[in-house]
Amino acid sequence: MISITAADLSGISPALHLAVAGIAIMLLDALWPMRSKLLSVWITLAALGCSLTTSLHRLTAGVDVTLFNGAVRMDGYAHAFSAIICLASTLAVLSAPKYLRLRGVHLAEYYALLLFSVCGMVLFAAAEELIMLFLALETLSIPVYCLVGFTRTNVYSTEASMKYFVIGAFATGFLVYGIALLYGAAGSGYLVDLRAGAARAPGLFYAGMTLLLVGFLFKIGAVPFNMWTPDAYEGAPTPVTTFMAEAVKAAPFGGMIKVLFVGFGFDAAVGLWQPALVVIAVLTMTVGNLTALVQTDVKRMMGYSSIAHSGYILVGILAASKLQSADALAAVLYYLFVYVLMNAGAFGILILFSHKDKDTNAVEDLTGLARERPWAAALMAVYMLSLTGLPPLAGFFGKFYIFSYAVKAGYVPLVIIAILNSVVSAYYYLKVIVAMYFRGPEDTGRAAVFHYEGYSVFLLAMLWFTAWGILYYGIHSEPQLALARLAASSLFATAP
Amino acid sequence: MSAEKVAFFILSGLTLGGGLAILFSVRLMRAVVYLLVSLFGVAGLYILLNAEFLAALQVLIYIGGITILMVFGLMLTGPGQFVNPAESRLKAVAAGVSSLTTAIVLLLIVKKTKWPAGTQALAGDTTAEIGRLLLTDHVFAFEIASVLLLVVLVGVALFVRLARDGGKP
Repeated sequence: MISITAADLSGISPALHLAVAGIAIMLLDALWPMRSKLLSVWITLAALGCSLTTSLHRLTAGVDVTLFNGAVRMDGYAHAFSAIICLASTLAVLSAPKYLRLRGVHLAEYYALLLFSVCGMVLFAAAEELIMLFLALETLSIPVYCLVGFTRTNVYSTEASMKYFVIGAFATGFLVYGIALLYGAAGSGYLVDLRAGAARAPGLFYAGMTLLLVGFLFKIGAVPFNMWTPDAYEGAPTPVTTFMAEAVKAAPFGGMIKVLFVGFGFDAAVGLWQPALVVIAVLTMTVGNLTALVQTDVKRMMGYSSIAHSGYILVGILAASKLQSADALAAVLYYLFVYVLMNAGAFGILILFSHKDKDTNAVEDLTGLARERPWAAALMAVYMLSLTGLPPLAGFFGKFYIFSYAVKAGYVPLVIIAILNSVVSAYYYLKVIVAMYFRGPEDTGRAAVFHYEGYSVFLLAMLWFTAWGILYYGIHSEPQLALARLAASSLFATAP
Repeated sequence: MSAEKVAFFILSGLTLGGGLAILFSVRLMRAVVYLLVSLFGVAGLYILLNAEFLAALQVLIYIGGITILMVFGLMLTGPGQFVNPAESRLKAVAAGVSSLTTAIVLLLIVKKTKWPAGTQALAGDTTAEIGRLLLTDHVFAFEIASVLLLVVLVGVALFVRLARDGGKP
């Protein structure tokens, strides 16, 4: 007897929409190949929109259900992550059609794979059990390995895909090893039961915890497990880099925060992982920012910058765990939301000026943009200033909330390092602005051409939306923070 | 020494010996054969643990499926000698030291641990029990595994097609 009830299916619908849409796209592509491309963009957007609105609605309604005999739990926390991830993926999908058409790889499979990956991400934040956690992580990762190599005739893309795959598989090995040891210690895979394992078989438990955390740190690109990030970001087709930099970046935090707070949230374990994460946060911020300084390629630079941002987010997680406050965790969720907007926008500008045979990737390629395309330059300036963290943009408030809670938690030296790092990061973000506004073709010796090849309404809509979001949600952060607080308090309700 | 103990030492010898032989073999084809030996050892250990179903799966999937696929892959691509990519001595030493430390630490932990579950035999028909669990407690994991496999199939088919004709339908 199969024990799936209608309530299970309805509860999991944010993930179900996405998987069903993915299958529908593949069937459509087989039956009606001539029209399937544009239709699949619309199906993807519709599915993501459905999931996004369902998640938001259930988050505000306070829905909290445990499904499939406790394997997943769709509470405020899972719904909030689902909403952030669906928003991020929508932005990534909007940026894709133009670029893929120019490269001659506009295939329906792109959208199907992307949707399956998003389905895995939603489940990753909802998983309550280690086997589910592992399956969700693989479902979210494997499509991304394929997407990175999507421009298969490009040798860099293939190389990036290969590297990402091999290192990703390696990280999964750590994760599975950790899961096996934890299961051996606790005799159960459920996160709430892990605690018993620490008392019964401490050595086994802490070895498992370490290995599991190493697996997570690989996925979020924390130092010293960061080496795949810049190569994968640079080699991937730019819309895939967009997807990686926001959705694939935010999703692992969903599972990681839950495991840290629910599975390893008791005093003895916290005493071990907190100091370790402090060291890793410092390394991640500093190494990410310092290496980003010397980059000349915007995609690579953003890769290192994303490592640095992982460090800031770790600071937020540490503060939330020390204070045991839902408000502090809400700041982390708000930061992820803002981070998604900024990254989508910045990569969107690169896609806007990508041509049939050449990407616009180098900082030099943007020289003199402000004279020819003032609006595009203004948008890019907004994204870069927000990434730096200048008020009154959303990026500033994201950092401000995280840092102020970290000070409250007593992490003053950590915050000082983080602020110094933000100052350093201003140099490379401003480098882009200087190139756009204060330099012209006379400085580089060659005229850059900024014409739109393959005009896309989707892309323009995405760019304007993200810029508006950064301006608007910075000052009006209260509604977003209230939602995040709802989500965070539902996680703390389950934590020991 | 009981017969079970003798069997255990032979089987773990096969598993570990096969694993080490993979590390030190130069030809990929030989490495695959050693992998076969190692996987057979693991299947035997499963039988010792009274997990017959798992042992059967190990033989069917890993030995019958995956290693045979690897042999096919090798025969079709013909990579010949395996070139060791470790370019510097320092790296090799660092890798060796870190693997050894990890192994020793894990070994000490495993030795120190008082294993919570006893060594009593599993009751009854393990195959039926696994089937029941997959369709009740772990039904969702079971379903998601099918999404995962679908993704892998689509991804591989797409990758091969893109390599052949670069996105043209």
